[in-house]
Amino acid sequence: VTRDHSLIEELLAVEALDGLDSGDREALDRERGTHGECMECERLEMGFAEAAGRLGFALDPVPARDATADEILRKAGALGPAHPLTSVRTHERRERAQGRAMLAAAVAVVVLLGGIAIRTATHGGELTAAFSGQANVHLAMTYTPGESGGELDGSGLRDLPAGRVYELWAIRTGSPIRATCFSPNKGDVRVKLGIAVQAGDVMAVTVESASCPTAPTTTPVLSADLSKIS
Amino acid sequence: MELAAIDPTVQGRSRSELMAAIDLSSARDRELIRNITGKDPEAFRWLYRRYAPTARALAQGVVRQPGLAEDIVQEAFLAVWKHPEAYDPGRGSVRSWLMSLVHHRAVDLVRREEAQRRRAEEATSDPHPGDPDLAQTVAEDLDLPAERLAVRTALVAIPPEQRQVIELMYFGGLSQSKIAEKLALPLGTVKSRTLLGMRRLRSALGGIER
Repeated sequence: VTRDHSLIEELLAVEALDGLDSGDREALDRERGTHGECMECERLEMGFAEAAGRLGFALDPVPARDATADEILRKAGALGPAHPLTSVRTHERRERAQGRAMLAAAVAVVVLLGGIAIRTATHGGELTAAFSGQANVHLAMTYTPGESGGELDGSGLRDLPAGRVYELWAIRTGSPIRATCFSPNKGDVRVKLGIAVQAGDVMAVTVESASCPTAPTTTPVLSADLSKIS
Repeated sequence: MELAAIDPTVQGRSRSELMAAIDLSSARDRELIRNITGKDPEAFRWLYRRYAPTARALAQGVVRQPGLAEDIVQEAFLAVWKHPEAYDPGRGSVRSWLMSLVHHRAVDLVRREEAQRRRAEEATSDPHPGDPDLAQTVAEDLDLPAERLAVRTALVAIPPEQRQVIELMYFGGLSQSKIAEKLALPLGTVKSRTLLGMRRLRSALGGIER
């Protein structure tokens, strides 16, 4: 027997927007009881809930203080009392922890971007890797594996807010290694790498504070997998 | 509510690129929730930094008071820290779940008499007073503009009369009977417009929801 879902669909659409009146809520409860275990109802509910939940992204974001996260953690008893200054050691530990977490993100970037062509090319002994991840951005790294003196060259990069820079990382055997920080000039960049990259490195670009942290703190926006270059 | 202009930073991107950007962040969000389940404060900080600005915008849009909005956002994130297992990856994205936590609280609050009185008072003053503690810029992960573009595009594609009821309900915190009253429409019309608009929204966002 095929059930009519028109009433429950109507109620679920409004419920997803938190727009039900109390009488409607009772009606929805009755409908749910009538439908019992209902795959179609589940599908409708999840679809509307997902769409409604994302509506908030239509709004422009409002700045929020980073420190509030720690205030919430303290409220939950997950942190000790606030200290006016964070010790260098604590800061370094935090950065290492961030680096470990970012590694997972960086690997995810490369895996998920697998479907998008990562353009690579070789020129004599020198190799060139093109980064992927953003439209209209052309970023390439010329390097010789194991040797210093590589160079990053690109155009079309977005300007960043004051106090933010791009940072290039080499993800190697489980750890992010800082390669260089850079700020584009009218979208263009040309900068020497501060490290010798290896053939198996995964390169990732993140947006960081101008202090150039020792471990990434945001999701990579561009990446290139050097293991795919031969 | 007036929709902000579509973010020019993501215009010109292909749909597949938008999907890739949203996919990347969705995978990372789920990883963060797993780590929060393991009581990792750093994962919580990351999730907060990433979504608090949107959560604040949503709460503030509904309750119209920065102080109350801040309280709502804190409550919602506290709930995330205490009960991250409440997120079911099979039912939708982390970001949608998180915003629903914020929205439920904002609507609950705005429907209480006291909150409505405050809104009425504030409606006569500056609706968006500055907060001296909030000097920071919003430095978002670069995938979020893609999400904003997708949602704004989906919303503006809905016929205006359907969009109007959805916006009044979601961003205005009004129930369907209040909307019928406000717009002088039969309740049945509000219900049918909501349903049609939500079907379109679900369909438009369906291809890129994760």
